[in-house]
Amino acid sequence: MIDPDLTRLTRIFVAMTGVITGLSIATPAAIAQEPASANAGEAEEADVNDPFEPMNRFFFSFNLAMDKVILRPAAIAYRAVLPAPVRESTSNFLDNLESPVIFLNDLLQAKPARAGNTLARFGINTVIGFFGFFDPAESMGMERHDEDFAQTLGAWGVSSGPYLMLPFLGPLPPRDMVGFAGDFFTDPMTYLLWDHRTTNLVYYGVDVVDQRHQVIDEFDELEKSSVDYYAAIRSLYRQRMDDRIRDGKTDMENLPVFDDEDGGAP
Amino acid sequence: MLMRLKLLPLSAAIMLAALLTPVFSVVSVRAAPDTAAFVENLTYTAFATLGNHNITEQERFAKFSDLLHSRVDMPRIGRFVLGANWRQASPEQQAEYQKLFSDYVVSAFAGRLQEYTDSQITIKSSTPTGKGEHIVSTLIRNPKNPEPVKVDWRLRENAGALQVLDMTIEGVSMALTQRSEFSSLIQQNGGNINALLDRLRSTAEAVRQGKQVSIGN
Repeated sequence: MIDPDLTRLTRIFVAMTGVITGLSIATPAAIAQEPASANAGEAEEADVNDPFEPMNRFFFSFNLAMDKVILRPAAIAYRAVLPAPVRESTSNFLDNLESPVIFLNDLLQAKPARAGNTLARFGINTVIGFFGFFDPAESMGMERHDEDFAQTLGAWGVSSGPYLMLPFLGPLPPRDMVGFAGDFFTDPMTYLLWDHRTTNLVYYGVDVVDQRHQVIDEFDELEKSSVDYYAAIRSLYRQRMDDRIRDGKTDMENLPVFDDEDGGAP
Repeated sequence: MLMRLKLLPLSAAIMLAALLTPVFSVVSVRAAPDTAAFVENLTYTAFATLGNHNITEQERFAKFSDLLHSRVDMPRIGRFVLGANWRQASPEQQAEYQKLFSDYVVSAFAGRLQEYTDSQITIKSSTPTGKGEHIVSTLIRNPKNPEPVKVDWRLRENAGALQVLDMTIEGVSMALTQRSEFSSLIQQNGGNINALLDRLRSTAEAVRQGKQVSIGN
């Protein structure tokens, strides 16, 4: 439902900043951090790990303002103008184009069954699904999953490092910055569209709007009902990344601890 | 004759089973409460309550509030969400906080669920995690959305009855998110717990007001 996966539009910027900043910050920061699977409940206070909070809050407000003026209205128009089946086919088409990156990261995480699933889905949906506009593989019981290089780094035990909110790009801590740079350079679309500026712009633009329009109501509701929207997004981003790294499996070992003994009943 | 001989062990087995069945069912009720039925019942009752437009908005809200107060362990969640700040709070602040917190949860959920009252829930699994707790994994499908939403329910047996302790939506725990928000807000206000109390009051009010003017689909 709520996917903090940043869009491919960002990869262009991230490829620039990511490689330079990412590699220099992330590696030592990642090593210095404790493993990602610390007890979620206990680690929460220490786990805020947001040394640049004032700057992050500034860019968060900036991004929110940009969203209100440009992206959200575009997403609302997109939803209003295009009928649901067209939007769904567009999503399917964009999803299908992500297959090579997903496949590569399935392999990097040594998950051959999931790699096979990605490969089969890509073949079936490209051929029978009319270049991916339809998803016949899904009805054959082959469900889509996502992967990217940030998740692979997480699966290898690299923790996210300090929280970073970047202008235009959204939440992008060092690990995930490196991840996006990795995705950019391993995505065939990068090279296919290298010399086609207009197509490139349309492709990334539609992708951004497609992702934004799927969560319009959710984020509206969250903004309205949260006590500290910035902190809510920070927590949500981290928990979603951890969930995606675990491939959506519930982490039964590290449930938050609801202590009744020392909770201090009134 | 031959038939009878064959039937004999069968009838004996049936009799034995009949004798043992009550024993088994008693044992199984004690060992594992029906977590799946609890979650299904809670979900559909909540949807039916919020989707009932034959009663006034106030009545609907009151019914929903009663439902959550009986099925959700508000005091324990409230304490958890306040984290270390709980011990900093005076008894008066704690009492006021618990009241505001449960109000806030009811308002926030009433707002968030409003759009989903025609959803279907599918129970995937139920896993006991010790100390009378269970994780029930479910998928919630909404006709408006092609992708189902993964929701894990953390339940606890309190005095024999099940209550919700946490809800994890696509890997995002409500309790952890709120805890992070609350401690951040208190910290932003120099450790002043009253700032959180004020914000809880105004947010719950804004969510209730906002329902009439919210942008639909």
